[in-house]
Amino acid sequence: MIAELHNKIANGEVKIAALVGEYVARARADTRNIFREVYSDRDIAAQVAVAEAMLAEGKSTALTGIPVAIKDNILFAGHVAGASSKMLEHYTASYDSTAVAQLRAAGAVIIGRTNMDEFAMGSSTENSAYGVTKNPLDEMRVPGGSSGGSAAAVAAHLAVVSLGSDTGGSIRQPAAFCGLVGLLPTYGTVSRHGLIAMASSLDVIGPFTRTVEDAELLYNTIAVQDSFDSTSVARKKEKSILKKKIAVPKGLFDDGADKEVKQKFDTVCGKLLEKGFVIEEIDLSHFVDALAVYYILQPAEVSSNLARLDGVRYGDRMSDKSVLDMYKETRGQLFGKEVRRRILLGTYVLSHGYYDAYYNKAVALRSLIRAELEKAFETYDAIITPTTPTPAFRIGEKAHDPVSMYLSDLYTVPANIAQMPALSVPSGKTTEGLPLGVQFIGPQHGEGTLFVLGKMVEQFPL
Amino acid sequence: MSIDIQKLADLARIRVSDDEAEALAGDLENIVRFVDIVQSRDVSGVPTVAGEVNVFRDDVVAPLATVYDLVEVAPESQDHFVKVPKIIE
Repeated sequence: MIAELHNKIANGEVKIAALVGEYVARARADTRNIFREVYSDRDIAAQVAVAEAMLAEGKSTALTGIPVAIKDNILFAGHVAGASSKMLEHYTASYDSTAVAQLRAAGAVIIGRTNMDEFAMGSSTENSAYGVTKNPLDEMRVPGGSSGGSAAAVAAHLAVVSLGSDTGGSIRQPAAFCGLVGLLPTYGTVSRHGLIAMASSLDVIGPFTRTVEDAELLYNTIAVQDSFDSTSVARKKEKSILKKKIAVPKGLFDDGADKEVKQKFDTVCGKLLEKGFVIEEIDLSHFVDALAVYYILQPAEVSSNLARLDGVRYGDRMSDKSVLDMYKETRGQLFGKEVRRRILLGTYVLSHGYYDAYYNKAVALRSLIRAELEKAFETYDAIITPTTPTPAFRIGEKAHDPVSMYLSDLYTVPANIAQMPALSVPSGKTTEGLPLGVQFIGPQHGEGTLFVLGKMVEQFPL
Repeated sequence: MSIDIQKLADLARIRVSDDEAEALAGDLENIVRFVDIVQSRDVSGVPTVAGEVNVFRDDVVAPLATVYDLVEVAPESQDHFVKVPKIIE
C-alpha cells in the first residue's frame, strides 16, 4: 500500500497536499470518536511543505508525504499528548518521542493523535476519559484497545498507517478487531523515549497497517537504538531461514474461545500444512500463567510510573491546600476508575507482606515463561495462536467486569512477558462479518521470520 | 480476604470515597483471586531478578528540551520554578 502510494507520489500522479488533504478531511468529518485531535491545517500544511521539499530535492523516502496517526501517549513536540486522561488534558509535549522523530525525518505527515484507553489501561477504549471509539466495521462494537483509535483510524481510511503501543496486546488485539496487521516489536528495538510510560518492562511502540509489507517498512523506520532509553537495544537483523516448523501451545482453547475463532485458526493451520509446514502441539506449561503474571507486574509498574502524576510537574492541579491534599485530590479527581484500580492493585502487590508472595513470584515465573519459549524456538520458527479468544465485543459488554476484560489479552500477553516480537495478521471474518486475527510469536529479533509467515497468510483465501 | 482500600489509597496518594472504596475492594479481591495462581507454582531456585544487565553511556551533555520548556508545562510556576503549596509550617 505505501509502496504503491510512494510510486504515485514519486512520479507525480499523486500530489502530497491532495493526498493528505483527503485523509484530513475524512478525519475531521469522522463521528466515531477516533481522533482526540486532528492537528490544525496550518500545522499539517507545514509538514506537507517539508515532505514536498524532500521530494523536490530527491531526498524522499517511502513514507514521505504519507498521512500517519499517532496514539495519544506518543510525544510530538508542541502538541498535546494527553494519554486520553483528564490528568494530561492540557499537557503539551516539550520534545519529540524518538518514534515521532524517525517518522518526521522520513517525511511522514502526522495528522493527529488518536483515542485510547486512559494511560493505555484497557482492551476496548471504553476507559478513555473522552468516551469509547466505535469500531468502523461495526459501530455497536469496540475497536479493541488500548490503541483502539489508532486501529480505527487506519480501518476507517483516516490515516494510511498509525502508531500504537503494546504492553499486553494493545496493538495486536485492536488490529485483529479492526481487520488490520499489528506488530509488537522485540522489546527495546523501538525506543520508549517520549512514550508516556505505563509498565516500562513491557511497553513497546509498534505499527498498525493494512499489509505486512507496510508493517515491516514502518518497523524499519522507527527501530533505532537510542541513548535516551537505557533499555534500547540494537536490532539484530538475522536472515530468516525457515525450519518450516510451527508450534501450537497445548490447551489453547481450554478457556473456551469462540467457535468461529477456532475454525478460522484451524483453517490457517491447514493452509500452512499445505505449504509444507509441520505444525505440532507442544506443552508450554507456563504459557497460561502469563496473564496472572502480567496482572501482577503490570500494575506494580503502573503504580510506580504514575506516581509522577501528582499535580506538580505535568497537567493540572486540583488543590493547593497542602502538599498532601494536592496529591490526593489531583490523583483522586483526574485519574479514571481503571487507572485508580490498577494503581491500588500495584500498591497492594508491592506492599510489605505481599511483595514476596506476588511480585517476586511473578518475576521468577517471568523467567520461566521466557526460558520455555526460548527452548521452543530452538525447534520451531514461531508459535501460532488466534490473536484474541473472541471477535470484537459489544460496547458495554465487558465494561463492568475487569477480569473478563483482562481475559481478552490471554493470547497476546505472553509475548510481552517474554519481551519477544509478535505479529497479528487478519485471518478472515466471522459469519457476522467481524474480522479475526492470527498471531505469530517469534524469538527476540525474529521479526524477519514473522514477516515471511505473515505475508504467506495474507495470500491465503480466508 | 479483605483488602483495606483506604490504607492503599493513602499509600498511593489517591482520594477515594467510602462508597467507591467498597466497590474497589470487591474488584481488587476478584483480581487478586485471579492472579493467586502464581502462589501454587514452584519457582524454587529461579532467580527473582530477570537477568537484566546494566547499560552505561558516557556522561555527556546533550540538548533535549530546555529547563524553561519543562517548567512551562507544570501546573503552576513562577520565575522558571515549579510552585507548590507550603511544605514547612
